[in-house]
Amino acid sequence: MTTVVEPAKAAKPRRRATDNKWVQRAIVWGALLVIYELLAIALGDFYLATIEDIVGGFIQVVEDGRLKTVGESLEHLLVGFALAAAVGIPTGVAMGRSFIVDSVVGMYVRGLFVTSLAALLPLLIILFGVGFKFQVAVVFLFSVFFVIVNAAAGARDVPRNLIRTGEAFCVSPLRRFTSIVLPSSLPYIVVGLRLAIANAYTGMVLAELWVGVGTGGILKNMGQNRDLPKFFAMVVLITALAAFSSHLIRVLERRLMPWADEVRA
Amino acid sequence: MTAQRRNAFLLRAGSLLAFLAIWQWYGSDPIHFATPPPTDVFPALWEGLTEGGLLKSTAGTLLTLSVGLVISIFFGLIIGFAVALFPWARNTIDPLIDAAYAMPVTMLIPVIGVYTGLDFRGRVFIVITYVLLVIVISTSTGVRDVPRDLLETGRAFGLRGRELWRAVILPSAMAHIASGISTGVARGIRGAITAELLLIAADLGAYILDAQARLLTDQLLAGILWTLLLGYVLYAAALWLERRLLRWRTLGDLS
Repeated sequence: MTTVVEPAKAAKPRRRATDNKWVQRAIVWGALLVIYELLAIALGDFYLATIEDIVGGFIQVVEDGRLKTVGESLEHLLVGFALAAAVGIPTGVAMGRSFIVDSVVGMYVRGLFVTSLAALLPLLIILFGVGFKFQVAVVFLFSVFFVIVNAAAGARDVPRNLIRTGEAFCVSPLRRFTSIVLPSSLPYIVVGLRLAIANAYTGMVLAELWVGVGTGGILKNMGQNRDLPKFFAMVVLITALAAFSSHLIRVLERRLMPWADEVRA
Repeated sequence: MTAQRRNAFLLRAGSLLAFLAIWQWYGSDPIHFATPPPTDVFPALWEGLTEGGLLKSTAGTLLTLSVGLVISIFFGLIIGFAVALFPWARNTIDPLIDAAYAMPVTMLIPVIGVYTGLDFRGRVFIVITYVLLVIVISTSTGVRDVPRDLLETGRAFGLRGRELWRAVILPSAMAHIASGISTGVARGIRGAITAELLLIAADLGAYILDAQARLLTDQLLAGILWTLLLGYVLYAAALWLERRLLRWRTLGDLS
């Protein structure tokens, strides 16, 4: 038995353990962590926090009840993001389907989409104060244009032959909209929402850093006191939350819209 | 087609006029002191440009942006090529890039000063954090996604190794890289302005913050308007340059 199997095995190109991507990841990521740890020890705790300190910092952050503050910030984020979706999706779809809407609002949307919105913060503070409204407004501004631009692209790319077919079968305009235009632009809208939530986090942090409240306020304090273990723990936490939110939208998309990949291809 | 173009132009012009009219009507009401009307803002903008140092601030911002861009492009190309060419690098760096992309980098502003200083270097560093990843991603996708038929054609003509790179892979990747750089310009100006507003007041950020602190709302709006326009114009210019430099791509395009 063995004599038969052996030569067949030898004929295959030899697979090394290092071809496995998880082995490679373990090696490289492990090396990066070790380098970071050595660097942190060498530079001292004023410059970097060692990994065990960051873990300790995370436990302290939880014990200090900071998670509640993060939760409150997330509420602002959700309100702003929901507003952005509620305003952005209809605007974007209208822009994609109507030449007039596109000409009238398109230039503002595209202009603000590419430019530096942070410059608007001083004006927003004067208009809204430093409380809830300000933070929601910043999150809204940072996310809404991603929703609009992508929704417009989706609505524009609805396959023309589908619409023609609908017209040929005398499908009413409303029905055409709900059963042709929306389903085929939804995948684009979802991409827009994912980009938007990532930017909503940036907006949230920016607004809170500016006025020194909420999660951003905590970060600002920890940074000023050089409380780096807690600071880095917070950074990791928020990055994980941002990545998770984006991932959640993708999972929901797969569940609710199995045709999405087909449309995108 | 020309009729449609004319209509689009008329609609845009009308929309802009309507916007200015509403702004004028809204801003003239003394209750809305925070938003002075365009008839106050545009003279303030003119004054800022001619004698108020707005141009000098703009030059400072542009310097930060361009230094950050050059550094990002240099390292972005290196990392991007490495990720595209070596499976090891792809398997290990790709997920790290995704994770870094999810991170709101503005969070790091409270601690960046200690490593880079609060001045020019700090601002350039923030620009790099905004731009680098875009360049890396566009480079690696550009190199990886060379259309197969182009590669096959190149091979059929006997090109190998370096020749194949020069004649097929690099030109094809160039389109991705160039659009990555355009996006990089847009993100870079955001990074520069954010840094100037939040790290320490400087250049255009200082101009805006100064107006805010003195409650000179016309000057504040002028500064904001100028900054928004600057970002838009820079991105439009980058796009124009990108199309212009890559014009040869469409010359022989028969499809």
